[in-house]
Amino acid sequence: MDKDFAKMQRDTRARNRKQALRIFFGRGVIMKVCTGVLILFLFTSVFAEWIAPYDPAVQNLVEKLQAPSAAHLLGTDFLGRDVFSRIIFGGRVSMYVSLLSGSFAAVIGIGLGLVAGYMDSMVSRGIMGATDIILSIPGIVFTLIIAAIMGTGVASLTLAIGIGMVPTYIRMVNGLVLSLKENDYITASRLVGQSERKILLGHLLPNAFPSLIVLYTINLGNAIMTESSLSYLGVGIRPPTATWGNMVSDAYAYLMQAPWLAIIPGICIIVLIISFNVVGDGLRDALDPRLRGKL
Amino acid sequence: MAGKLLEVKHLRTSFFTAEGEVKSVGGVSYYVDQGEIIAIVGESGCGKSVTQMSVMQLVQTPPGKILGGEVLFEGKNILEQDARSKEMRGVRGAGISMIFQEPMTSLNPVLTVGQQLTDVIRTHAHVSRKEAWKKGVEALAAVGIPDPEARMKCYPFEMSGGMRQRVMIAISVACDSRLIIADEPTTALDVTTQAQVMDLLVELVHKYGKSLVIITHNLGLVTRYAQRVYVMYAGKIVESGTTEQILTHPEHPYTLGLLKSVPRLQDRQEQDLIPIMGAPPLLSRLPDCCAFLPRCAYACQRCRDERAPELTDLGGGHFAACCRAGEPDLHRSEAAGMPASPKEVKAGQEPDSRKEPLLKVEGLKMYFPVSKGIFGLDRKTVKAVDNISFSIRKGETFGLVGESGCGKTTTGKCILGIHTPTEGRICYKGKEIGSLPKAEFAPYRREIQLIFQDPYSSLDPRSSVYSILREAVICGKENKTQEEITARIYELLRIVELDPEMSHRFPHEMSGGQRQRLGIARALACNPELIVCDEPVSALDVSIQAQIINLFKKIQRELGITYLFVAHDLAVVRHISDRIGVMYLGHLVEVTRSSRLYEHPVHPYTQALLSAVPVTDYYEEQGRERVRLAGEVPSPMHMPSGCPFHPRCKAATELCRREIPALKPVGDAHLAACHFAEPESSGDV
Repeated sequence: MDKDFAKMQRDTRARNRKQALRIFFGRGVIMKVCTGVLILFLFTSVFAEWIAPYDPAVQNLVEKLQAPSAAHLLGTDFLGRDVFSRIIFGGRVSMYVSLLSGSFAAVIGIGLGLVAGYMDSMVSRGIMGATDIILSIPGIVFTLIIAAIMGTGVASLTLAIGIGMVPTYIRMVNGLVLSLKENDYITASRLVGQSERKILLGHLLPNAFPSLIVLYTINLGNAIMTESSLSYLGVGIRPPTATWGNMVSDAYAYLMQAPWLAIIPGICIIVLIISFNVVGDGLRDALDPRLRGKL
Repeated sequence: MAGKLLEVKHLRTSFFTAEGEVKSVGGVSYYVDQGEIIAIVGESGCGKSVTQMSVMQLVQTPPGKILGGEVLFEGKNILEQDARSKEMRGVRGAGISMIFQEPMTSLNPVLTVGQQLTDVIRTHAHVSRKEAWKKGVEALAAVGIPDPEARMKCYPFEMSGGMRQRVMIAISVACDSRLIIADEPTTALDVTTQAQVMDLLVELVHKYGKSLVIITHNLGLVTRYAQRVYVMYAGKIVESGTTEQILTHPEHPYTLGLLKSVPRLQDRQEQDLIPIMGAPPLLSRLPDCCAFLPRCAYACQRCRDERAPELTDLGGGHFAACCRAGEPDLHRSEAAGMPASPKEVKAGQEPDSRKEPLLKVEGLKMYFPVSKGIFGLDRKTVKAVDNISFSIRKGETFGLVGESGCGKTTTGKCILGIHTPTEGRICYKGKEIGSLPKAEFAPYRREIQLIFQDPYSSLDPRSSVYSILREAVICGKENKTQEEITARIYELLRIVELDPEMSHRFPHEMSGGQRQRLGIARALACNPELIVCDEPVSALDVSIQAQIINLFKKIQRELGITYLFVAHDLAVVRHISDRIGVMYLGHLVEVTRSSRLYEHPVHPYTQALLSAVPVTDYYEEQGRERVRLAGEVPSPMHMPSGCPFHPRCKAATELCRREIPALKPVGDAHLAACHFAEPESSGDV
């Protein structure tokens, strides 16, 4: 019986994996394109040193503000730096900041939200009160303050953006937990003597997952936007380090003479955000057992 | 009877979904005469509602599409009209009106009743706002709503479910519609309210000469109210005839099965119900042959070879779609019990009255504080359970019946330790557990289990069958190794008659009955002594309901488990319980053996409750005298003084208004809380 069982378990897992992939890619060509874009961006960021034709920081004032050509695929900026190389290196920083700050916010926010939603005590009131206070401050101002306190640099910027996004997670998770814990299956788990911790992690978290993955991918996009705003405001990453955000803000002065300088990093930001969101939606559906296999 | 008001011919409606064509209505024909009451009976998903929606052209398109057929309303084919045309809108409301199942959602919550009523009236008749208002008030008065002027200004949430259903009926009265289609009009209502609403509908039919189509799964309603019956199965009508023909001489095996699987008040208790095996077919994968074949106990070779049988005339307006209809052996085997039932009458063991009670509830009170007004200054308490006492012996089934809001579920939750009682003792195996703090309650936690009403929300949609049961098994910590856990899970699945192959499925891949079986398996995983069953079959279809009830009985026989069976359906409770307690507004009003409760109800509320339940026996129902109950259950926030039942009781006197009657013995193991209950009275108060 045991062998049978092990085999059955393997078969089921294989079947589930296959169905998940089918649902994920079954959503059409947009899903495939977006997955491709994400893989491409990840690849270029990881291997930036080998792919980029020039050093992104080296200036060549003689060749400044050149239009795209064979030598400079995407032209040069106002200091004569190669835009293509800066896009590749800037993508690395932008994705690093967004993924790291988004994940940081998700882990902290989901953790605090679960605790606050499930415990009827002073702890939860404290957490929710603090969340409401933070939410009452405009997000960009809050992040600006933290960034100003912690100084510039990629690491502190990531942390500042991450902390700024924590309250939305807490609110979302708290709401989800409050509604999910009314379900009979939570009562049933308690009645068999399941521990609170296991109910939180084993039942409430998986059922909150669909909404959380959407929030996560939206926040990845938001992080890129925040990073560029902060860079624009001067508390972000300092030159000459390239990010997509500061490339757009630097190009602002040359919008008439060399519009591609702003448009190219702008398009990169938009494409990345759309890809994150589409892939997030696909993941949500692919990981939902309810969409796998019908009665 | 002046001709056919509505005649539907070969109506076909399909839904085109990702899984293919779902043939919801597969060539249905029926008619309604002027002033006639017909019923369309069938289980959920058999197409009875879609048929009516197709008649009204209210099917969502896409994915639905009416593929063919004719709907003759007063001689005109209304299917030829466009769904959005002026003519069709004239038919809806003014010609045919509908009453839906859910009174909570069928009225717009942000508009007053008066606004909604006058709106409908002005759509169909050119009258001034004032006249429409006057007509609305008249309509509300006609459906027996007290103080209609004031009620016109009420919002739907200020009214009870029964009231709202009356408003829906008032709309059809105001529009003077000639046909009322009532889609499960009373399923969401309590038994006594159900009787009131149905009586009102029938009265209107007689008074104004309207016709009525009742769509229901409740055979009792059919018996009591309908003149003719159509039985639907898998999108087709399988049998039709007068109510008497269908109920006394069913010719289709499905009708026969339905009748046999309904628990009846007058049944002997030891008798197992005879369920229809299996589950209804998927409408997207209908076979060419008879759709009932896989579940049919009378299937022969002809059924397998031939195409689905057409309705054939059996004489006297009785039609059945079965190739064996009219064969005499159908009824002979019925007399001997259906051949499909392997287990026939099993002698139930009378629980030994000298045994120690497993659970003893003494003076249980559960009050919930409610804050109202600004800053919650206006504090009130809801007395959900007020001073009730009963005991359950080991191996016994104790039934708790009552209408919604009577506190039966709260009582169950107190016993489970979900609520801590305000007052009173709950003794389990002689030890007080009601007031124990969480940590000390832990050892008893697994011994008392719960089976939920809703098989959909009681299972985590993201856990597989295996992991749901695994959680319940390993929390006991008796089984340790993987093999032992798996062996136990397979054993549990076998006990509840599920295929162990199912252990890797997810809840959404199972039918309602299978889910409820899984819920039972989860409760059993803890080796409980006592299981609280909270309306465990009320969300299930009739044929599945019988399967689950039989499973409950089998488990009790084999494992000796004690049940506290909480339900509102008297017939079901009476079928499964050894003793029954009747609750009204947080009070226990009568406790006795279940056979005695049916034969000698003492409390006037019990009498009214029993008489409000329609029975499925045609001749008995016709000859029955009914105790009608006026009014509705008061809110537990405004508890009447004295006996909680006195505002609705005909025998109420000054004494009843002043004093709460105590439960006192009125016979052999029979307690009742009524001032007029005499010891060993014959039952009439």
